[in-house]
Amino acid sequence: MRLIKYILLVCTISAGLLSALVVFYRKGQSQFFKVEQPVKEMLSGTENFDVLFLGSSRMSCHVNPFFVDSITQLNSYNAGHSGFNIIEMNLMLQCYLERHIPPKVVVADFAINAFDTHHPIYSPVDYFEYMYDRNVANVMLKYHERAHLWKYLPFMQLCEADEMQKVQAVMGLLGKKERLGGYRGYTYNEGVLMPPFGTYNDESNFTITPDALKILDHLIATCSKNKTKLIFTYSPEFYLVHHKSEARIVASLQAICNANNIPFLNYRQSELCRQNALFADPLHLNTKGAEVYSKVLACDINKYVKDVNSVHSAYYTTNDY
Amino acid sequence: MLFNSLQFLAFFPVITALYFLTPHRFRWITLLLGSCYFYMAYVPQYVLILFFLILVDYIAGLTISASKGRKRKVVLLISIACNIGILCFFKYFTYIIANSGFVLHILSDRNFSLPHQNILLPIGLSFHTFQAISYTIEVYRKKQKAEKHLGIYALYIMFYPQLLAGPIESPQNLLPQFTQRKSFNSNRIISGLKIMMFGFIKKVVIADRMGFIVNQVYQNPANAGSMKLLLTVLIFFPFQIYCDFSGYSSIALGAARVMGFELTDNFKTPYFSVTTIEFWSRWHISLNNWFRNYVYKPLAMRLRWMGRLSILIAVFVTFTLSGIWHGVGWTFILFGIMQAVVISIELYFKIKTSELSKSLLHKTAGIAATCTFIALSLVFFRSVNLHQSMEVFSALFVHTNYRTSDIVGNKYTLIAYSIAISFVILTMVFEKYSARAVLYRNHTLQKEVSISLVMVLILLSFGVFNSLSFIYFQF
Repeated sequence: MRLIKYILLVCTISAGLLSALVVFYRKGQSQFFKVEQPVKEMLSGTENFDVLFLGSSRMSCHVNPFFVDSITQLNSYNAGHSGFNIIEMNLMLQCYLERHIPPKVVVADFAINAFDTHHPIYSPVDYFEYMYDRNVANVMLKYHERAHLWKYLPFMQLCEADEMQKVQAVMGLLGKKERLGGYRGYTYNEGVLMPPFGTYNDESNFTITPDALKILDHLIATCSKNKTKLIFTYSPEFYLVHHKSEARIVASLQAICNANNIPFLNYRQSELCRQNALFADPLHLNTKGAEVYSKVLACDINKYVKDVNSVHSAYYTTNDY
Repeated sequence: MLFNSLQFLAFFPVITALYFLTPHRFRWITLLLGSCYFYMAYVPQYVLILFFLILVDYIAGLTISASKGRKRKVVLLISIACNIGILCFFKYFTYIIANSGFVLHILSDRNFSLPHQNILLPIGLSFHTFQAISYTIEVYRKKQKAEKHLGIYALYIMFYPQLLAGPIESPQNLLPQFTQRKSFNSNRIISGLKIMMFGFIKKVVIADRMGFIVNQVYQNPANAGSMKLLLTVLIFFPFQIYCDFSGYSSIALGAARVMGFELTDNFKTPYFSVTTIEFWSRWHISLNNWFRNYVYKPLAMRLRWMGRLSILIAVFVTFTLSGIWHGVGWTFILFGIMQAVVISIELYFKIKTSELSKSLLHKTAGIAATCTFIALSLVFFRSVNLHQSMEVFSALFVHTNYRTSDIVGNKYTLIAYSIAISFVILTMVFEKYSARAVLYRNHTLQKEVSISLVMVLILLSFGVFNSLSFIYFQF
C-alpha cells in the first residue's frame, strides 16, 4: 500500500509540476524573442504572403523582406530558421498552406547539408504545442521516437529543450528580450569577418538521400499543384569556404531544376562573396550583407515573377522597419 | 538495452512485477529469461557465446570440486584459458592483426596489410568473463562450493542489473542471494528506486552534459583554446567518466535492491582520495578487488623472495593488465603504467592516507595532487591514440593559448560551463555528506515523495536525452 501511494503521488505531482513548467517555458520563450518564430507564424499566423522564403540560418539572416518587398512590390515572409533542412522546409510550406492562400512565389535556399536527413528535426521542442496539426504530427512521429510520448504525455516535452532554450525562457519570464531583432522572420546578424582569413575546409560527405529526394519532389509537386512559382537558390558564402560535397550537391540540384523547369540561382561565384565586410562569419552574411543580397535577389526574382500582383495594397511604411 | 532508454523503462517494472508474482521456487527462471531478453536486445547471437562460457565454467566448477591433485589445476587453467581466449579474440584480435602487419612492414620494409575484419565486441564480455574466472578460482581455492544448479549458476553470470558493466561480484556475495527468499518490502523498493533515480541523474544530467563539452573539445584539441582544454581535462572529463560509470553502477545497485539483491558498491567518492593508492580502493572497487585478489596478491606471494621489489613488480603488472583490460591501444597501457609509477612512489616513500589526513592542509594538498594526477592520466584514457594525447598536452603546456575570453567572452559557453560545474559541485557534496542518509534510509512517506519529486524534476528538466551510451560499455 505504501509503495502504491508513493508511486501514485510521485507520478501525479511530478506530472502536474512538469506541465506547469512547460507552460512557463513556452511563455518565457515567446516573451524572449523579438522576432516571431517562423513555426508560430506558419502555424498560427493569419497574414497571407505573396512570397515565402524557406531555408536554414543561411536564409533567416540573409534575406530581409523589407528590401525584397521594396523592389518586388510584393509581400514576403522569411520562414528560414537555424538548422532547417529539406524536411522542415517542406513542413513549413505544408503548414502554411493548411491555413493560408497559396503564395505566388516560394524561394527555397539549400545549404550544403540541407539534404542530410540523419538529423531530421533541428529543434523538436519548437513543435510541441503544434502536435495537433496533422503535418507536424506526421513528421514528428516519423522522425522522432519520443514524439509518441509528447502526443500523449505533453508534460514530457520539457525534456527536449536544450540549455540555451531553457535559459532564454527564464530570461523571457524575467522580462528580458533577445538583443537582436529582425523583420518578418529575418534576423539581424552582427559582426564583421576580419582578416587574417584562413581557408575554411568542410570535409563532410553530404549527399541527397532517397528520403530527402522524396521530400523535395513533394515540395515541387505542392508548388506545382498550387501554381506557385518555385525558385531554388544557393546563397552567398565567403569565397574561401570549400565544401567537399558542393560540386556533387549543386550538380544534383541543377539536374532536378532542369528536369522540373525551376530556376536555380547560384550566388556562390557572386562578387559579394569576396567582400568580407558583408559577412559575419564565413557562412553567414551580416546585416549590411543581407541588405545587399536581398536587393540582388529581389531583382533576380523580379525576372521570373513580373506578372505577379500582390494580394495586398500598400502595406508597409518605413516605420514598420 | 541501455538503462537510459524507453525500452528499459518498460522492461524494468514488468520484470520486477513478474519476479514478485512468481513463486519463490521459480523466480530464478523469471530472472534468467528476463536477463536473456535484456542481453539479446543488442546482438542476439552473442548470447550463444555467453551460454558457451557458462557451460564451460559450470562443468569446470563441478569437475574441480570433485577432483583431486593436479587435475584440479588443469581444469582451472582450461576454464581460465577459454574465458581469456574468447575475451582476447573479440577484444584484441583486430588490434593484434593490425599491429602485426605494421611490425612485419618495419622488419621486411615491404608494405604489409594483413586482412582482417573489425569484430564487434559482445557487450559486457570483459565483466562477465572476469566474474566467471573469479568463480572457478574461488572453487579451486575451496572458498566456494561448486554450484550444482545450472540455472542458478547461469543467473550468477547473467543477472541483468550487473550483466553489462558490473559490478564484478564475488560468488560468495551473489550466489547465495539467488536461493534466499526475497519478500516484497515497500521500504526497500522505494530505497532501490531512489538509488536508481540518483544513478539516472548522474548519467543523464551530468555525464551526458559533460560529454557534449568534452566531445567538442577533443574533436580538435589543438584549436580548442588552452583554457577550455584545461577545464575539460581537469574537470569535465574526470566527472563525465565518474558520473557515467557510477551512475550506471547506481542504477544497477538500485534495480537489484528493488528485488532484494545487494550488489557491491563500486564507488566511494573517489575524488576525495588523499593518495593514488586510496583512489584505486575507491574507484571501480569490484574490478580492483578482482585484480588485487587474483593478480597482485598471488604474484607478490610468488615473488616474495625478491623482497620489496616483488611488490613493485606486482604493482606494475597489475596496473598494466588493468590498463589493457580497459581497452586496446598504447594509451590504455600508458594509463596503467602511470598509475603503477605513482603508486610505486607512494609505496617507496611510505606516503599513507592516514598520515596525510591528520592535517587539514596536508589532506587538502593530497586530494588536490591526487585529483590532478588522475585527471592528467585520464587524457590517455580519453584520447583515441597517442598522437591526440600529445596534442592535448602540447596545447596545455607547450603551445599554449590561455584566454579567459574563450569562456567568459561567449555567453553560451559561459552558461553551459557554469551549469556543468554547478552540477558537479552539488553532486559531489551530496554524495559525500548526504547520499547514504537520503537514499538508503527509510523516511516518512511525505519525505520519500518529496525526495523523489526533486530527483524526478531535476532529471526531466535538466537531463540530456539525445545521446550516448555508457562509456564503460566499450570495455
